[in-house]
Amino acid sequence: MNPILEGLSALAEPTAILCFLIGLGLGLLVGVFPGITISMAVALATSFTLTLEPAQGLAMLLAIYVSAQYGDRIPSILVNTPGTPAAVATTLDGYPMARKGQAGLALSISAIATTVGILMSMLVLVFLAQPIAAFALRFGPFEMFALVCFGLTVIISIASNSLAKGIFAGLLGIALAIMGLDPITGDARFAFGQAELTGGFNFIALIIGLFGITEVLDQILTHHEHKIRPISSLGRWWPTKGELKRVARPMAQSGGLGVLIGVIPAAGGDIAGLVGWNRAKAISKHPEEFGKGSIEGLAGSDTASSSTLGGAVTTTLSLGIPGDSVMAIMLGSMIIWGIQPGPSLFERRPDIIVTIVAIMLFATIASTIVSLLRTKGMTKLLDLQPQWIWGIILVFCLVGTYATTNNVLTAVQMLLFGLVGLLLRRVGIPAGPVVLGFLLGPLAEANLRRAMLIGEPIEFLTNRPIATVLLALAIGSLFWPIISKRLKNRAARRAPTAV
Amino acid sequence: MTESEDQPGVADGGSGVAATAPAMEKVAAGVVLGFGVLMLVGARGIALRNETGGIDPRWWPTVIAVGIIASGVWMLANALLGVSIDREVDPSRRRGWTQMLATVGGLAVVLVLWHFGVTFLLLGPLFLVAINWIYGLRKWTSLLLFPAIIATLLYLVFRLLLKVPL
Repeated sequence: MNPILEGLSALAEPTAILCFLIGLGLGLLVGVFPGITISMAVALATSFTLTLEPAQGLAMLLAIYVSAQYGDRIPSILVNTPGTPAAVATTLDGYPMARKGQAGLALSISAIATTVGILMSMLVLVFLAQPIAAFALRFGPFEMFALVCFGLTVIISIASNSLAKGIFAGLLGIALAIMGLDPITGDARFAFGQAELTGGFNFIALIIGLFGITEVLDQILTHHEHKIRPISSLGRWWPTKGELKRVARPMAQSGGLGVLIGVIPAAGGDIAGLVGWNRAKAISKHPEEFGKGSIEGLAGSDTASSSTLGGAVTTTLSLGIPGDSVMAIMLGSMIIWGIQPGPSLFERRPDIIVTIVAIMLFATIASTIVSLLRTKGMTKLLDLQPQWIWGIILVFCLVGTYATTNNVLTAVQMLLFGLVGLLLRRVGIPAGPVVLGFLLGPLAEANLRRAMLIGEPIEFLTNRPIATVLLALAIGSLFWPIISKRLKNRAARRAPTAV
Repeated sequence: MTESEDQPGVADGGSGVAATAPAMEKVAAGVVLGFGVLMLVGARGIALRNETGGIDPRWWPTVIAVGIIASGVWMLANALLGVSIDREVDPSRRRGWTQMLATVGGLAVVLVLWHFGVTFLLLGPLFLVAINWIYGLRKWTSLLLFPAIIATLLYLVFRLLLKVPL
């Protein structure tokens, strides 16, 4: 059958449609509740989707991923609290607009900007993913090792303020993945003679522990009862033609920047949103309005933050390097379903690519429609007690992890990972590189060992320009935060003398 | 909740972002170092079916263990030299510690009882009643209605629909 028809027909089944609708609803809810991250929701949903067909599971996970981009703008605008980190920049002008009685207009402009951003990013996925994958097909083991190193170092440099802690987080993930059987010889490592340990740690227990349990325990630890009442007067809803014309330019330019940022592994919507807001301010005729309720500022930030989605999916599918932590979780799910994302995916399973693009497109359209309806009921959801949400998440974390193996010990593993995650977080060690290290560690090891069995490393460095460039980029991305900080400090020291 | 109960914990300071904690940084670096050394010892002790030498199954764990030790040394140097690094975490509350530890204790009890055959359909709602009580929610909606709704949901979705043996 034609891959396009095959990919679309997998979504036409009633179960896939039901999964899509559940994911859509969950994603919108996840976005609305500050504190529940998209990573946590996708991690939790993963445990329930493993027994489904890939198209059905992807329908739920990707629908959550896309629709949460819409839901998370609502608390940013109505209570000045971003639903997820990607909506941080939305608060800059969204909340001031709401305080001026323009909450409805802010919500509709935000929804339109998010739609434009996601659709722009989909162009990257549609037109660039296959050429990137085709190029990457030429990669040998040494190039693949260098690519994995690059993906890991980028997330390490972005995820933590301390390079030492970021590197440790990545290495910890790799270390956790070592337990089990050697990928080449099959020797047991760190199994201590126990047959149960040769299977290694459970991926679902790891991600639900690190993203679900850790998040809830940290919220219990830090929760403060200072609540801002949501703004309930929404005011005018639809933008005028003049307002739409005014936001077109910042949307186009900030969205373009967001698309570029999205292609960089691990650079997510939070960074893009702030960059997009700055860009919109730079090109505006009224920069003085920014931060005080500028419609251009809101459009710029929301287009940019949502336009990272396609890039994140592109690197995941074409290179097997997750674009963000949500994609890292999804990558793990796809591996469990027997689908290995990477350069050869486009040759082996083109239908899956079609399915993924279709789900993202349908989820964008459906989320836009839901978001543009007058969503007064959403303000009521913001009044829900956080303690109830903690309870629901904890119970579902337990059931979700248990359901993957029907063994209580898997849930015990999850609780232990949750406690380790809490300790790591309080010390300032990020969880993202741990998960990525766990996923990419075996890939890095197998490719490096194969490469070293074939030839000497020095020979590879001289004969393999792609691998050399990727390794140079990996080292550069690792040390760039330190170099850029020093350059900024030097510039700051020179500034007073210049004046 | 009273004002004093909601005061930030001493260790984490009282501002919007948790303060740097030099002692904790040193302890963390020590734990990382210890973990690296243990892993190195474990890696060298991996039993192989065929001793080939060179790039064998011990090689990669050894490389990673050395990397962990190096990052531990780096973290320790930062801690000893007083390099200030923002942890980007919210300050904790004293009461938050009690509630968090009680929640973890509750989860541990649930897992032990579940392991020994008590059904989760009973344990789950009881856990919710207990933690809502600990969090200070004493209304009937929190102690009866909410756990009852979750119990019904667990039964309908997981037991009946998904056939998960809870």
